[in-house]
Amino acid sequence: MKGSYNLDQQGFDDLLRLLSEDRDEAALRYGKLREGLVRFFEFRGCSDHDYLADETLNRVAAKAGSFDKTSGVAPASYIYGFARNVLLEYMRGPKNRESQLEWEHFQYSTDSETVPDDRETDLACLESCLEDLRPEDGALVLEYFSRERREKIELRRVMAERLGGPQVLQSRIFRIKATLKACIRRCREKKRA
Amino acid sequence: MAWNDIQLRRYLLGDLADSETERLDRQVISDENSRLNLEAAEHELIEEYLEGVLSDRDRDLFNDRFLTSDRRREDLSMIVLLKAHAAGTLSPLSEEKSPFAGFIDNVFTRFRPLAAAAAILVIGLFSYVGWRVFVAEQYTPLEREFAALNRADLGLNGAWTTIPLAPGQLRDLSTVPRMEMGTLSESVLFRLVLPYTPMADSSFKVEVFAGDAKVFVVGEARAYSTPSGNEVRVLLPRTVLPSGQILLKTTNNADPSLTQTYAFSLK
Repeated sequence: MKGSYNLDQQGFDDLLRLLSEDRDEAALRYGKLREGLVRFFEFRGCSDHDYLADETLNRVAAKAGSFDKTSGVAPASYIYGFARNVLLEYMRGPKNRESQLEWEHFQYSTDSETVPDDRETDLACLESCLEDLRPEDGALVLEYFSRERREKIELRRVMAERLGGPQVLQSRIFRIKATLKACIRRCREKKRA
Repeated sequence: MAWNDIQLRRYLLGDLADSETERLDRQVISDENSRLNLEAAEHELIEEYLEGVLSDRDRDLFNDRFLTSDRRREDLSMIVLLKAHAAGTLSPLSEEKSPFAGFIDNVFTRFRPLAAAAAILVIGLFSYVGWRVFVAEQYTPLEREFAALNRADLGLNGAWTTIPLAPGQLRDLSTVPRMEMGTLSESVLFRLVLPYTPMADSSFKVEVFAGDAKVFVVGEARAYSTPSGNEVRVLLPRTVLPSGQILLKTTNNADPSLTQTYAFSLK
């Protein structure tokens, strides 16, 4: 990754003007754009998605003053060009490789004798976090993950019918998983401290 | 543009064509619905990886290109935990050893009161595995992947080539419909006209033959009612369709004597 770009007031103002002439509207669009960039980097497999989104916005801000609105290039395309460059730099960079190596090390170490302790901790955390959920949510998420392959598909079809459609089921499961994920993370940190 | 499950999956595995990747990248940045669809596809992919149903190639892509961020590893760990917990407190049904089988073993030691029930389930499981090995048809990973796709509702607005075919007696293969390989999308939807009305919720086995060789099987394609009659719809990967004469054979799973054949040729 090239040296990081710093955001100054002038750059920020230029960036907002690029998004909209109306300052309030531009601020709203800025928030949405940042969220979109964070998710873009997440879906492209980057760990440092927040940093990469901010780095993209900083680079756009640094150049936004010279953006020619009459050039026919849409601001979205202009911004995407920066995001793509940041992604390519990240992919080539050592940080991405370090992250991969850490994971490989983790995979190899799953056979070692120390891992069952971690698993015990994780399972204990999961059990405790499941107990913190509303009983119907705990039961729902366990039912959702109780089957595999063909039986899983059939089970989820039945569950979706019961709850009012696949979107309803999916969003409830996503919400429960997000709650569990945050709870397990806190629990792990507490137990390992 | 609406993206189908296969395109979303290829994107996540870093295996979508550059031009499509760029289009989807832009949508991810600007459109929240695309992000929700991708999130759902991510979770589906993780589950299939854990169930051991990904093809060898997709498994390699999953390890090399998908599992590269802390968030995804955390998601994977959590799904492993949830599946293990659900398998321990409910009933284990996996018929093959999957990446978290060791985990499940470990969980089982935590639930000794369930040991007796587990023993009964294991006997049932072995019977099932035996049935799968010796009696039932064995499916390749790609066939299993497409089996899942064919269980979904196959509308006619998907981003794939649609080929309608009528059943035939095949006395003269020179008169069958001809198609150009280059005009087909990555997945091809075949609409196979049925000469009768099947019972509600009927499923059909669809076998693909090139010459005498069976090249692909979908175990449970669905029947659809249309204004002009009934048809079986089956989504097949283009890669399994060789050039030359191709025969599709449908068999009604409720009554195996009801079979139809559909022919076409690919250049």
